[in-house]
Order: sequence, then structure tokens, then C-alpha cells
Amino acid sequence: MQKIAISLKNVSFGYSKTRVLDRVNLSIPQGEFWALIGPNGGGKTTLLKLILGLLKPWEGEIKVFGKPAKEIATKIGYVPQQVRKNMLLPLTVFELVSMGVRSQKRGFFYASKTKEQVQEALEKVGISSLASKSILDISGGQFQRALVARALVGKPEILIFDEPTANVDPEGKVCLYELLSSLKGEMTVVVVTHDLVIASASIDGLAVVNRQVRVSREKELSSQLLSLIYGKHTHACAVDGFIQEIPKYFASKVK
Amino acid sequence: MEIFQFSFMQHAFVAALLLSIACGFIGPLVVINRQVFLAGGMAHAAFGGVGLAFFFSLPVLPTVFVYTFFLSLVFGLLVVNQRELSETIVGIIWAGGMALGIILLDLTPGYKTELTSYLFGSILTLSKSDLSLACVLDFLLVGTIWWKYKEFVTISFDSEYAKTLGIKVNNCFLILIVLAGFSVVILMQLVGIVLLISLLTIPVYLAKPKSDTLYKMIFKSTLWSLFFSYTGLFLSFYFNLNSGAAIISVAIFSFLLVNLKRMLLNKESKTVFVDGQL
Repeated sequence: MQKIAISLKNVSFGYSKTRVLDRVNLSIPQGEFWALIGPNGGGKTTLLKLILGLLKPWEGEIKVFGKPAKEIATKIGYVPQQVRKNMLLPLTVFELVSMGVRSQKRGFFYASKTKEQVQEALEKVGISSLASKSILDISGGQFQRALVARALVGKPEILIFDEPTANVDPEGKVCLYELLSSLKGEMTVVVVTHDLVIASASIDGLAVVNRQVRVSREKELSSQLLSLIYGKHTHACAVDGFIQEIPKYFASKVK
Repeated sequence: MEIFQFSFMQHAFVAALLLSIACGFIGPLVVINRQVFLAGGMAHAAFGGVGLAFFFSLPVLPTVFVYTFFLSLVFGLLVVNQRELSETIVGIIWAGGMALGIILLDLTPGYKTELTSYLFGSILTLSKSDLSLACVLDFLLVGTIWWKYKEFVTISFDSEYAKTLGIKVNNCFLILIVLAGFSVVILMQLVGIVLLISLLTIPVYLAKPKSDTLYKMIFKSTLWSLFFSYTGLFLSFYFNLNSGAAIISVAIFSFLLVNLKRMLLNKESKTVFVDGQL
């Protein structure tokens, strides 16, 4: 039987009196690649924060490898959503990635082992030449890759990404999902994403989050499923009307 | 040199070295964590400690140290537990500390000649025991920042991510606030409560542009602080000026000069670009 990496049983959570997640059940097997999808405000990021132990559930039980997340923080790598650069903090790409290395040498400088680990992680995401650059001098996409390297550098058993491709160009998105897909088996990967088409090529399971969670092992994303997840589009698109009007316009010109 | 023949000036130069190290180490952390207002509040609230020392006829610096230590703990606990209200809390403690100091001084009989030296700094009030206390505080401050440097970098960058690493973010912020309190005690005698905030910020501003890591910023801030305080002490001695005002004036003058240079260089580079286009 496959070992369960993440398990949630009847988990509910909310902010002040608003319930965001309601009796959620979810089991993610070890070594699989799962995508969490759903509309904005559906509770995806909240679900991740509960798994990471950053939030306490109102009710229910959350286990990571059979233990509370806080007890095994070293086994989880995390890339948060929308990390804003602190413009006042001088920080190199190397230092940013080194944050993910556990039990570091004290003081201002870094052990040679840390340097090797960081270099290896940077090579994995293809930005090893940027190690000494300031984070203020790199693009949004390169910054995102550095955050992925930071998550990888601690050699975690579970990788959790909250919209990792927010600032990445289309080619970069494909590269990133290829990288995440290659990690499958070696570690459990959970990604919150709206890049359904790219993600669907690599995933083992899909969890649709909107107050509750529905799980699917279907890789194909039908338009019917998407309508159910994001709601049906009912208003007529201006662009649709425009395209229908074009032939009429040309016909009138010929006359 | 004549200036070094006087023991009070020797004390002042040792104090200037200690305060430069304190400013250089804590200033960047205060600025990058946007805690300048909090540090200002702490400095002004420390006036309550001066009032206590005068009222109970206690030695001023040790009294201010004990008072500021407990004040920073209370301050820190309130701020880390109610982040959204931190500015309001700082405002209350800022005014409250000043009010306490003024009331206690009003209730203290006699004329308080030394009072202005704690508000605006003085080179005449430094004793050997004060220097010893400042030295211990400097050692604690530098040691703690060195020991927790990587945690401080991580929480300054992204405190939520730091939590996922198991870093006790609230404790780190509390330590930072207590260290800021230590720096207030070290700076108070030479620069004064009212003026010390500029020594926590100006060196950082000047050190920032060419620093790509926090420890380089710390090193450069320390050098800038040393330059301001030593130049200020010379001016203070030869022109019979208040030490705090002289040190801060040098800092402000350097700040203006560096900005002017940056503006001119900027203008020059723009001109070159236009010429290139032509």
C-alpha cells in the first residue's frame, strides 16, 4: 500500500466568523504530483497554510507523514505566493537560496557545504550564474526560480508551491513544470495553480478546492469540468460579437 | 594633540567608538524592518528612566538601562502581538514615557543642570562606569546580531516563510526591539535622547547603495557612524558645541553632500545619454 504524505480529515477553518474550508478530506500519496485548483477565494492558499502548520484548524486533523507539520518542518520545502522584494534589504540570490538550508553556521558567513548546496539548487533551476547578483537586479521570472531553488536546497520530501509561475514567461512555465514533474517520485509535489493546461500534463491527481475539496485522478481537463470549477460564463463576450460582425462589415464594403 | 589630554575627551572618544558600533549593527536592522518610528518611540520613552533616576537619586545610565530593558520587553510584546496597532502603541509609549519623565523631574527638588545633557548629549557626563556599561551592552548587541544574523535576514525578507522553517519570528522581533533599547542607552549620553534617531538612520541611508548584503551594510554603517561621531567630537571640543548637535550636524551635512553628488552624477549620466542619441 502506498504511503500517505499529506492527510486531512474533516478539516474546517475560517477567518473571524467566515468559514473558508468546510470538513475537508484529502490524502496525497508519497511521491506524487498534485495540483490544487479552484476559484479565487476558494481556500487554496489557506489549505496550504494549514498543511504547513502556519494556521491551526478549527476542527479536524492534519498530518504530514503521520505527524503534525510543525514537528517535521525540515521535510517540507515551500514557495509562497507573491513574495514582495523588500527593497530596503540588501540580499544576493545566493543568500536568498541559502535561507532554505537547515542548521547553518552562525555568523555573517557561510560554510563551504552550504555554498555547494546552494550552487547545486541554482543549477537545477538554471540560474547558477546569478548567485552573486542582488535580488533587485534580476527579473521577476529569475526571482521566482530563485524561490524554487530555495525550496529545493533543503532537500525536502514534500514540495509545496503556491502559484509558482505567477511572474514567469510561457516558456519558463513549461520549464518549471518539467522540473517539478522530474522531481515526482523523488518527492511529493503539491502546486496551487491556475496554469491548468500546462500542469495537467504532469499531474497524478487534481484537488478542486472551493470551500470543500473534490479529488480527481483524471488528467484531462474538460470544458465541462472547468465550468464546474470556475463557474459558467454567461455574458456575451465583446470579442465574440466583434468577430461575428467582421464578415458583415466586409460584405457591406464590397457592395 | 591637545584634545586627547583631557580624560573626559578620552572617555568621549571611547564612547563614540562604542556608539558607532551600536549604530552600525542595529541601525540597518531597524531600517530594513521599518522600525524607525518604534526606535524613535523607545528613545523618547527612555526619558521616563531619566526622570526615575533624578527622582530617586540613582545613577542615571544604569537606571535608564534597567528601565529601557523592561520597557522594550513590554513594547515588544505589545507590538508583536498586535502588529496592526503597532504605530498606535509606539505613539502611546513615546508620549507616556516623556510625560512620566517630565512629571518625575517636576517632583524632584532642586535645579537639574544635567538634564539637557541627556536630551541633547554631552561629553562632560561620561564616567568610567558608564563606559563599562556601554561596553557590555555593545558586546551583547554585536554578539546577538552575529549569532542570529541569518534568522534576522530571513525574517526581514519574509516572516511567513521564516515560520515554515521553524524560526520563532515573534521572539526574533522581540530580541530586535530589546537590542534597539540597548542602543538607546549607549547613544543617549553622547548624542542625547532627542537626536539619537538620526544616527540610527543616516549611516544606513549612506551605506545602502553599494551594499549587496546586510553584513556589508552593517560594516559601512559602522564606518559612517565612526566618521560622524569623531568629526562631531572634534567640532564640539574646538568650537565649544553640544556634542549631540555637532555629531548630528556632521551626519546631516554628509547626507546632503552625498545626495547632491548623486543628483549631479544622475544628471551627468542623463546628459551623456542625450548626447549619445544625437
